[in-house]
Amino acid sequence: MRSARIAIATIVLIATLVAGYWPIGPLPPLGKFLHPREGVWAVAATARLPREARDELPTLAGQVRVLYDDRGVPHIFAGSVADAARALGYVVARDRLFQLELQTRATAGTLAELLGPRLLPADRRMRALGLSWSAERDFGELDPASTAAVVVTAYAEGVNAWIDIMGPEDLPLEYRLLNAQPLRWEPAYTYYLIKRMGYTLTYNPHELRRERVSAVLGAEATEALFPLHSPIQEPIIPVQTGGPKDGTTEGEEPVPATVVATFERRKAGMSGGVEPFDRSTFDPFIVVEERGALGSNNWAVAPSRTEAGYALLAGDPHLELTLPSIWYEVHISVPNELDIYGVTIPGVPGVVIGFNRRVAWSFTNTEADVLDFYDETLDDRDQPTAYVVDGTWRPLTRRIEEFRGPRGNVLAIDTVYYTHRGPLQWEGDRPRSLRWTALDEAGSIAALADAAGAESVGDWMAAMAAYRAPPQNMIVADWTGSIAIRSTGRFPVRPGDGRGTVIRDGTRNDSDWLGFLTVDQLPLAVNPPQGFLASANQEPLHPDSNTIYLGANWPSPWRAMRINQLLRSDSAVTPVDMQRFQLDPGSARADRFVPAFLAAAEHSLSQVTGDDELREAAQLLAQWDRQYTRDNERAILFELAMDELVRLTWDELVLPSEDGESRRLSTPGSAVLADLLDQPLSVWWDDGATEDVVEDRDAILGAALKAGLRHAKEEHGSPEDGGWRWAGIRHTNIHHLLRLPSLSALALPIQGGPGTLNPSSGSGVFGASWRMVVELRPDVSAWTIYPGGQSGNPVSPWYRDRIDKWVSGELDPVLFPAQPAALDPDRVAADLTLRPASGGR
Amino acid sequence: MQVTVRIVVLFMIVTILTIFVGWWTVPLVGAVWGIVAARETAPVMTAAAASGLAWAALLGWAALRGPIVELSQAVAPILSLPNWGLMGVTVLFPMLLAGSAAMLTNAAKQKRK
Repeated sequence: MRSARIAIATIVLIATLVAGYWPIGPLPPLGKFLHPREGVWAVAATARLPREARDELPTLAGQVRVLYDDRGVPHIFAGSVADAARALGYVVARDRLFQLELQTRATAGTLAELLGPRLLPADRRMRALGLSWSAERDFGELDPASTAAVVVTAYAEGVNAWIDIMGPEDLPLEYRLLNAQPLRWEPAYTYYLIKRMGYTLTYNPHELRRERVSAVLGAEATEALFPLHSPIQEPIIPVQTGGPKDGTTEGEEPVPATVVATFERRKAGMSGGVEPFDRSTFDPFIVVEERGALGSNNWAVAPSRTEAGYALLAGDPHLELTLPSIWYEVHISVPNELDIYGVTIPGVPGVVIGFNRRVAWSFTNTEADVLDFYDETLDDRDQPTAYVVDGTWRPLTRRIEEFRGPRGNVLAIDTVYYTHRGPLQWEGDRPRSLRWTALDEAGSIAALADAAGAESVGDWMAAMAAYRAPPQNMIVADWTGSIAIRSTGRFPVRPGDGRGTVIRDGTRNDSDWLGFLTVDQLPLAVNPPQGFLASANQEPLHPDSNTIYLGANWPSPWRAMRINQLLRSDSAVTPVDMQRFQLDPGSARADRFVPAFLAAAEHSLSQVTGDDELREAAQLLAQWDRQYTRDNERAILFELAMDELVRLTWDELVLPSEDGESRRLSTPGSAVLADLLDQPLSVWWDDGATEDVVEDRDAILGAALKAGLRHAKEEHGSPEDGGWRWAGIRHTNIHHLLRLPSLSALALPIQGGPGTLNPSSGSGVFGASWRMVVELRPDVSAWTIYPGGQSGNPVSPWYRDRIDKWVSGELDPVLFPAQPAALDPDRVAADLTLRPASGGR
Repeated sequence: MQVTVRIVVLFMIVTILTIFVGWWTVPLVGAVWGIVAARETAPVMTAAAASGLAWAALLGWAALRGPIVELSQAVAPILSLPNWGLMGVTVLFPMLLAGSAAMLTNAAKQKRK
């Protein structure tokens, strides 16, 4: 008996000691983790900022006062721009330390060091793209005396000052779970963040997709389905008043008959012999449909169309929603130099989107084509040392990339080769170099710093002329009532036809880019007669007024059409209207397709009266008000019918794969499909699965509507039972950065759907990451929100405090005090004083 | 010494050593207690109870400084524990350390006799 007790005691003691000292599986070492004072429980003790705090920063030149308001927004009052950057680095690190590191590692390709070997493929992918290489190069080439170098270095000093000052109890929860310690912040990491944005917003290798589609359908059909210009035009730069215009010229078919015939011949020749879909070459990054969820809105209204007679500006960038948010709200004040409010991205030493007392601005992604691939010829496939250009061998630059795990063990070593164009990629066994403006110096830090002090639209535009990447549709309004928009960034000028839609010949020097568009060539509109400007990632210029290639296969302009519709119909816009528009549930896409469904059903029912299923589906769809409100019970029928319509129409783009399941090569945009509605007899309507019947438009629309009804009933029950309620079906999911459900906000009911101003993507992880409305009064007023909160501490009252308001479309009025004393003491939540350390500067 | 007094003394020792030295002092205290209190009633239970109470008290102190219930509810699911499980594990962990160490040394001492 005693021996048994001893044995049990020994086992228990050893087990608890082992669990206390060493990590077991996903568990951190429990001794340190569970420690009631310094372990995970300390996260609760640091949930609230201390009411008053004083810290010393070694490199600070003068005292900085930081007042946190009751929304957790720090108002930084500094004596110099460099000190403001130091304080910004400090407060961002204080609130978002883990996020700073995770975002940096994601771009640097060092996630496996923190999260383990399962992240190795993602790390390899990132380093193969050359992002960290270019970030380090950009920072290394900076003039140390330049504005960018000064603020980036000062910001890093601020981040590291917090890392040095923080005690064990300040360690964020994620580090405790991962049994890790924070990485010290290097100034170059800011450039990693900028490269990350470039990757997120411009890595769209559509030429690879076109190549695959073209191999199946032929070049002409590919051109028709993924056209150079949007078939429905609502360009950013207004060309005339009135509604959207068809992008095709009169009498032109969206898909020419000759093209279809070519395709039909190819299809017949295939006779089931289509090459199986090769998963080994499938690039999961090329998912255009998901990219469609990455979009943004911005618009500005001139005083002539606002109720109060002041310019109004609104912006809501749509990005992946995370907890904590990609954005951090801040006010920075430096006497006589800077007084700016808005959002920064943790890691960037300044405000990205926001306003000062004279000017407000916001961005949408231009969706420009700033990336090309070049087929290269190498001297050796396995151990290449050179590539050929115009018959001459040029040496490849090699960069050894070493990947390590959490314990410092080497997981893999890759060699990334670079031509003069960029990093070498492998498409199957084909070596292709990548020329991409995201790998060039972005110029965004200096441009944003210069623009922050702008006094007018002209000042701001002039400062942002230096901005290069990623290209953005930059909208701006000022206190005098001016409004403007410009698609700003580096747009390549290519040789030949100027297009970037094909893989280029790397063996020829004349394949290289010739340069970039000059600033005066960029799409620009200033104070247009219509009195407003808007962008929503649509094609910037109408093809009739533009011969410059900016991109291809543009996002469908549904959101742009809806914004313009709302702005055209309101000649006395108020800030409340702007706020309402941001959550508008109307849909230009539904306005286009619903009548087509109903007309097709009516036509079919007039010929075949006994189709009760079609009659029921049409009756239910006709009941829809085309609004994606949360209580709506008909939107789901339309969405399921649209899914079916896409499936049935573009069946030619579905190929068998090696595993026996069919896979879709790509999907033309919904604007192309909408354009096809005008061609009732196009062969694209024919369903390849039915051999003896040639379907027309109405047959496919009717079949899609019926199938949509069947799916709706199967998945959500009878339409009268409440299961079709939109809020019960479509959700927004805001995941924690580590995708930990208990730290996430999931299944949030949302107003909006595909193509609405407040979009709801299928996965629910994309959405309006920041909403801002600014009224350019003499005393500027602004209202903002983002889904999340200022703190990265999951039990902080500022971790997810804004989500309910964000879901319901509310905005918070912001506090923008000119000096510390102007901030209402009742709204000061914390007061931090940063002083130069004794012995410091 | 009465059991209550013994527990209080041990409770204070574990609390102080945990705060100022570290969690690993808990099994050391238990081991020492298993020897010095070998003749007392239920030395193993005393060590385990005092250690658990010490960490529970420290948790209570943490509760005064921040929302530990919310924290437990957020972290416990990550570790596949029920919502209150993190608190339970935090109290159980020192009990196992101290209790098992006390049991081992106590048995060794009695065997030597």
